[in-house]
Amino acid sequence: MLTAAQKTRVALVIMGFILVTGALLSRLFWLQVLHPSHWVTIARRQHLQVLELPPTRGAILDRNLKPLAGSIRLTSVFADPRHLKNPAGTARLLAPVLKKSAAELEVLLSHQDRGFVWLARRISNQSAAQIRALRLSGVDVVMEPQRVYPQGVLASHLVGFSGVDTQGLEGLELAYDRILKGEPGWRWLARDARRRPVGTWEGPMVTPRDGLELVMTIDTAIQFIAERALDQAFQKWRAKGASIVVMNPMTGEILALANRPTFDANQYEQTSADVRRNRAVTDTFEPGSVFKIVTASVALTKGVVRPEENFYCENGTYQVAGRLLHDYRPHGWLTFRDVIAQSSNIGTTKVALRLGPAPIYEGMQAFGFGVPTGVGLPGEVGGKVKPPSQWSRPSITCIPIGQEVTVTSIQLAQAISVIANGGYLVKPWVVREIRHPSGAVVKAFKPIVVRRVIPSETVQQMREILTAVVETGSGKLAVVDGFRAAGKTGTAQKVEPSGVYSISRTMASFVGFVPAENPVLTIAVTVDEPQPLHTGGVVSAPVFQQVATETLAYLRQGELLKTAQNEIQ
Amino acid sequence: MRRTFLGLGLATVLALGYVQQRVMLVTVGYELEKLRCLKDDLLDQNRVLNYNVLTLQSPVILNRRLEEHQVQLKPPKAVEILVPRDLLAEGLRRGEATSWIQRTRELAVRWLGSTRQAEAKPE
Repeated sequence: MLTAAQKTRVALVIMGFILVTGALLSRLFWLQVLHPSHWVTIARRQHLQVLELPPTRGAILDRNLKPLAGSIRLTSVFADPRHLKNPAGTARLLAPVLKKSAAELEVLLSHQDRGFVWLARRISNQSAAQIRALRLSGVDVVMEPQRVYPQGVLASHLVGFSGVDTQGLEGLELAYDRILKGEPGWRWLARDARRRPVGTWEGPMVTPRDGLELVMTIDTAIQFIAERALDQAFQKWRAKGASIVVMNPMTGEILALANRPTFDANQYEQTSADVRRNRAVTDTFEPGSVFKIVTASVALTKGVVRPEENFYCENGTYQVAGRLLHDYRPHGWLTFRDVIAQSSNIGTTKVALRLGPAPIYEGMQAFGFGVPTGVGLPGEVGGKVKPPSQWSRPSITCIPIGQEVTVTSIQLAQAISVIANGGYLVKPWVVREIRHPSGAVVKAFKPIVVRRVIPSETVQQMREILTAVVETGSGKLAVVDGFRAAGKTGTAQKVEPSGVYSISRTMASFVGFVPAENPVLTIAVTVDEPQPLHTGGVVSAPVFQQVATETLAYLRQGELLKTAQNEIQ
Repeated sequence: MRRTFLGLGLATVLALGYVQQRVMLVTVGYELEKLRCLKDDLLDQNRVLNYNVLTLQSPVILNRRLEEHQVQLKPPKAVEILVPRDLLAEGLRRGEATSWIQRTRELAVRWLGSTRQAEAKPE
């Protein structure tokens, strides 16, 4: 039997036990039932993390679905210097793998005040595997997206490039950035005490929406042909710059567009903005004699001249409207056909004087000059076309022969296409389709006919005149073996800082189409400040000839192969 | 008392089973994450390899390599498309020749078919 004192002690112990247990249960109730959210939040913060799921940026493809831009992920290496015990030893191990000096790495790893330093960005898979195998404490790797351009310099001005954060900075990458980039998703990621990911958490998840793909109108093979020919001319004539536009005159599809100098889109940061400029759409220049196609077309349409009508070309020198005009070579009597074929400034001016300013201005506008073509490339400008109210007295002698007016290369291609396609102004375009990565077409673009510019009778007359330019006139070096070609040469003198036209600095150009009877290609070539020769007929016409010859052979082979394949099936 | 012990034993077994289930869940979770990483790695490698193949097929690179090896290529004066007899017949088979006319044609092509030629451009 317990004594009274013992019973009291037992009662006290039991009471104490009940009190402690009660207090603990109360606290537990307080934590678990009354105020659970605070601690749950802290616990979740410790082992749960929102992981962003980046979208894959859409690819850019050529018309045959050959990739011109794509996305890959590469490994980048970083370190937490606070967790490094031996920076010098770690630097020695990393140096040969990262191809950096040990001293340079040691400096980076010795920043004890920093919790994060990049050691190398976007290294090769082999190097990444070596880094992982080293299992260095305080050194880790992370995957970073990288935009890549498998064709390198090919079509780099068209495709453009995107920056380190895969945001479009130039070309189609910039123009269609919103469509290409997609939208990121996210998911919850549970981590254990060692921060290792545990895949058991079944929380909400938003899948990323990958960017859409662009299918361009350009053909990589034609682009290569155009770039190779342009590059050869650019180097041969030691030019300051050069551009080429190859277009389907019937639909307005740009089959190739290139500029020189150029750059590799994979290493865009190593070149200056001047090199990266898409000169074919951003640079304006006085077109010179190629502009005579506008004057001639308007004159024939208005009926102020006939192709066989004779004009006296004053043997090369003519004083008119307060200006002394010269021809490159002196001519006497020439038919209107030969005025254009021989590119006589005097003959063209005499025709323009019959026309007057208003029809010429309307013609320039109808051919698409003075406004951007709307091709959809960033930075496009419209050039300068003055209304008759702003013309000075000598303007009637300048504008019809391509002075006092500025244009872009793509506008010239669009203008010559009017004659090639039967008299219609078609809008040039570079994007055929916007597709889902699965291949489903989201949006397909169609050719846009802006307006009829000249009647079919004028088209026929102009085709004959422009064929004569190539066969007997100033563009003989543009003759394409096996086909009749049509075109116009241009040698525009550039304006010196003093305000006078330069003798040695010119813009040599050639615009034309082939075959003349049933055109499939329109080509505009411009070469800026070629040396030592500087005429469009010598510098630019051979580029047209080379590109037309090789492209027609390529297209022909494609047709033959398709025919053969159809036969087999 | 016996029932109490049985109840406690059952509760313990159930608790252990629950814990075992959680441990399995975590273990499978680790495996899942490992496989997910592996899949991502392989996809990344695949993308890089595809990019390398595309780069090697680029006409710019091919042209540079031809120049390095001083190989000069010219466009062909004429293109010959040679269609072997067997391939032609196989092509017809793929078209599911059903009628006797097609079958006869297939037989004729197989026995009599020759190469097809086409000119690339007039010379």
